[in-house]
Amino acid sequence: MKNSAKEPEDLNLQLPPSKGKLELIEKLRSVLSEGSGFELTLPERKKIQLLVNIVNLEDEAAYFLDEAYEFLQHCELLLKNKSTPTSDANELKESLKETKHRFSNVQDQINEIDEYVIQALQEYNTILSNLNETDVGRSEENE
Amino acid sequence: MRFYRQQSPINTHMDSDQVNLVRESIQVARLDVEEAANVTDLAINQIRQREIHKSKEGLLEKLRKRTRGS
Repeated sequence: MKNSAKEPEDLNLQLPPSKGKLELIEKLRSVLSEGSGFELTLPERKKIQLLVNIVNLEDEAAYFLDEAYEFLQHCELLLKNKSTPTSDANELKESLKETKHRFSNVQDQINEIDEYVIQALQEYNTILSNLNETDVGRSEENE
Repeated sequence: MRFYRQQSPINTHMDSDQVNLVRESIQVARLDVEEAANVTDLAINQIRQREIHKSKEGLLEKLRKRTRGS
């Protein structure tokens, strides 16, 4: 994972959008569920389960970062707009700077996880489409 | 004579309550960031596990081919 420290001024909340991804994850969850009609080998099942876990964890991490962002924004504004006693100002500014650096590093990691998830989901998307087509073909044959 | 109430200047100085509020808020943000980092580590661990599974499958497939070929 990258460890790029950004300047505090560069802090932006740039978390990956979850739109579309969640829909695919729902599909995968349904594939895992009993009675889905998909016959999966144990290794396939394990890989899908791990991917579902990864997406859940990614969402959870993004949630915590989102929470932190709001606090940091307010603190930054207060420190910018108001004068602070020197002894406190140095401490608070340093603490804010450190937290923002840490924030940026974690955000980079989440974005890298997302790249992995998107790639893995794309592989499954093709497989799922093929499976759907096969199912449609089968049901048409049965009719 | 009309009496004009003197407007108080905009308070641009941070009092001790505000200093404490900012300090506490940074601590909360830090905790959230660390929580995000912990969860991210778990996700990375799951990615590693998944990659191990994938490479195991590939290796097993190679072994099966070799066994069939021999």
